[in-house]
Amino acid sequence: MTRLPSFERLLAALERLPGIGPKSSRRLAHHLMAAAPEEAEALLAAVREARERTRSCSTCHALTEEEPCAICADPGRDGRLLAVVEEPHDVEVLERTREFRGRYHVLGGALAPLRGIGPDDLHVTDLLARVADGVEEVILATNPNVEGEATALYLVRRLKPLGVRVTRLALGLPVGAALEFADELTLSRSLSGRREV
Amino acid sequence: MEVRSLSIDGFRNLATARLDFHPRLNLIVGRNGQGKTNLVESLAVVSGRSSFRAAEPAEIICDGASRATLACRLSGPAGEGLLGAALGAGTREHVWNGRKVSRLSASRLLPLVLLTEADLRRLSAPPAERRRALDRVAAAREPGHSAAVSRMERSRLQRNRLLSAPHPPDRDELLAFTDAFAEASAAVSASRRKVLPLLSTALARAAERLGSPYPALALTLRSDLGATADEPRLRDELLSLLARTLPEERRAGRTLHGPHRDDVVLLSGGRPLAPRASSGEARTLVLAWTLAEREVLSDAAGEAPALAFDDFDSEWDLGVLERFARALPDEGQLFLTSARAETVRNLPLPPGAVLEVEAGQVVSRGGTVPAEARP
Repeated sequence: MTRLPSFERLLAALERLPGIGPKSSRRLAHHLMAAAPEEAEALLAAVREARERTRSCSTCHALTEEEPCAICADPGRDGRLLAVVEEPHDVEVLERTREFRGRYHVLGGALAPLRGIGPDDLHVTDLLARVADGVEEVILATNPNVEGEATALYLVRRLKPLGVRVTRLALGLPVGAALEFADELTLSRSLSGRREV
Repeated sequence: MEVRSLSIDGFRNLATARLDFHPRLNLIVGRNGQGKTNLVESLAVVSGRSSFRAAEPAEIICDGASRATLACRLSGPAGEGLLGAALGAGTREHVWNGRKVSRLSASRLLPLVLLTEADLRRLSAPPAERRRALDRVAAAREPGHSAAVSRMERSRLQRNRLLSAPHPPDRDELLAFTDAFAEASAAVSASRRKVLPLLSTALARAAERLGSPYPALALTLRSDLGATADEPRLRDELLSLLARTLPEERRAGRTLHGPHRDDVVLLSGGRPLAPRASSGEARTLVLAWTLAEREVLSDAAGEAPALAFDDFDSEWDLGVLERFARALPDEGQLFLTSARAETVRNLPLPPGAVLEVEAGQVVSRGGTVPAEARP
């Protein structure tokens, strides 16, 4: 078979992206090869521009093109309420609910000793500083896996002495799904977290 | 639940085929090395179990194939359906009627109790073997048990990394992973404590039916924690134990206490049996344990799980096998493999079908004749 070193480098680069396996990377690469030159160029330009223009907000560490980010700068947001998330994309997920009117703090990951990620690798120190500056409730919205839970437990230990109210996102049933399709852990946590109606 | 048929493609030495099964007894016969155990293993894999012989899914795929696919047509109280498993290099997927499902769901859809050569040494094997046997029953009866076991293992590994670090760990970080470990451990411990008495009673009954000479049989849990099944109390107990032994744990560089060290010990008259039982007696007790597992799973699922018994006749004396055949419940599907078909044919087994395996080809050889019906 003919060797295609540049094409193989493209395959390898695409495969490093999250959620992209060998099959998807091959499909994407072939699509890019067959696409009009301007389509491929537009993709390159979009990647370059997004990388040049966006940065991490110095206050909340979410992705932003302005400093501070639109949420931190918005006087309509409730500064007494702070949601702590692991990654910048978690902010987008919570924003899509249009439910939360407070502000965010992105940790930049979760505690994971096996991967060498400790408290000093996360934005914890400036979280504590923000909380000391007029925050009344911190909502811990880390992922419900071992690392996310341990990070939440760690933050509880660091935040409680500051006298702030600390809450954790409830775990429950997906809306619109039948009970029989819920996994048992979700169902049992929904039961223990049930509420009066 | 009944396995109506099994389609096999690319699995070990088995030829691509669709096999129809008898609703009661399937006697799989053939000389050694022909593929009888592979057939039992294929059922285990579809039912979400780890293979009892290969660590990696890739080892299960037949030479020259890129993946192995298995599909069982099941019928049960919930209707008919197709449960499939696809194994590739490092991948494993379960599908129920075209929808991806977890391994745990697969095990619920096709409840299967297995007895293979690997189980025969269970009484004298390291504690992990017996913990696994208990956890299988706990997973079938207690919601969230499997997930709690994974969380316990994951948080223990993270905690071990902190304990083994050359510099003293961040105190709050260590406490956070300790909390996570204790929380998951309490859930695991509570469900193990809830199911153990059920398994223990069923085992004692089954052993008696198999003619075991040992009186007053009981399973007991050797654990770092007390006998309560109350989760908050178990968690607090483990937390205070871990707090007391932290300096020791730092020296050892790992978690020294918790349900990962639990052992399930078989007692007779209050004393451990493993050191006293002959190897034949120990095998009979494992047989009793298997029947007990089947009984408890039956109660949990509301239907009889299938029982697959590999190399059914090779390690057992005829008296035990006869009693086993008589001890079998009146319902549920059986898969028995044997290299000595003539021995098995004389046992008081229910009616069924004979499948002969030769060099990976499975051929139907008609029905068996129950002993009672013979002249």
